[in-house]
Amino acid sequence: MGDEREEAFRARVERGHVVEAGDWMPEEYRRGVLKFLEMHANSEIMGALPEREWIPRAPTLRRKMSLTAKVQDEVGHSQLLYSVAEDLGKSREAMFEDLIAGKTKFHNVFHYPTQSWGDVAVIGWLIDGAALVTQHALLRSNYVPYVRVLKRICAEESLHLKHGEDITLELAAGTPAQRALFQEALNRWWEPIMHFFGPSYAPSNDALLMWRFKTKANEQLRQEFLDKYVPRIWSLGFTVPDPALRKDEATGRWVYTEPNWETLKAVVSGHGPATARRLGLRRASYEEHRWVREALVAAGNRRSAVEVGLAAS
Amino acid sequence: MAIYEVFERKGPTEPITHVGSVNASDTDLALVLAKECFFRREHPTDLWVVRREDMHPLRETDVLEPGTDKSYRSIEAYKGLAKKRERIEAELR
Repeated sequence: MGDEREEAFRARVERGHVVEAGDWMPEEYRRGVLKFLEMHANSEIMGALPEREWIPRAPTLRRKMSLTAKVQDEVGHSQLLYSVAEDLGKSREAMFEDLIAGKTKFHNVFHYPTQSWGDVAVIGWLIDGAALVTQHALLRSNYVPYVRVLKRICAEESLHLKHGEDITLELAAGTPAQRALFQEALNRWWEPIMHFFGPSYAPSNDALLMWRFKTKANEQLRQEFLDKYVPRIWSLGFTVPDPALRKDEATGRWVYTEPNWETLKAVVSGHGPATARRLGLRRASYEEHRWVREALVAAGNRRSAVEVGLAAS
Repeated sequence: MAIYEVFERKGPTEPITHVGSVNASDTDLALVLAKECFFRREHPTDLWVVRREDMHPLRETDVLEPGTDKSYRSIEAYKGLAKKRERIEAELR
């Protein structure tokens, strides 16, 4: 059972048809997409934490307000994404609980500590830049409930990118100490950024690519990122901590030192330098706010009871 | 009879938008009327009807105004970034 329907589904997506939450879909597609969306939602909410740490330390009131706005946006994105994921059959509570129990994943870059204002520049410009490269590709995904929220997310992320670039340019135009701040942060973040796109698989080994949920392979996305950002890093007089990095003019592809993929595996499976602390923060706020959720549910129940009573009288 | 608000989705990745309302005795009739009134020529990917009494508009819409200056939330706040970059690049050369 299911094989015929699965073949028909595969044929439809290969012809470019789109998928809605209520459509029949193969279990492998549903599970794969749910896992992907849950990871994206987790990453938005976990991604708010490293930047939140810099709100009290932002150098000006304007920076403080724009960073606060950005953190709010990230939390908002996680809400949109959890809603889309929920429609694939896992409750929001289960997703939150699995996140704080360390059972589900979030992006590698949010497992690292932020050490200086230079990190805020690197995160805002290059990590958001990397995320935007991957999200833009997903605007052509066949799972359209995701595409609809991604449109909004991408618009807001474009603003975040400008915010990050603005901070970067300010440091780039600053004193030698300010320039060093950015360079030092870039040196620490480069490998995690290369990890961010994931290892380069053969497309046939990436199930979500085969289902046309993803539109571009990891390596293609990494190449697009390098193409867009490395020349800009260089033209601002900064260096990339990879002596092998260059564009091969004959093939048009970037050549780089293969990052250590074992490190990525360890980091995303809960052994990153800031994993325990960040998950601890998330767990603490989930627990501390439990009474708020319970009070809201109780108040809602009471209101419904009053409405039912009024209707009956 | 009840008033049903009618919504369409023009394409799979578009948001649901409001197109008008119909007066009908039940949901099935509201859907038929909505199709005949609004979509004789257009072919949306989705069509919704919602009883007006099930919709809950915000009455005090002034809370939707920004209140204080929130220009830092807009892309215009970063106008001139390209020029700034060119200036820095020129100085470095």
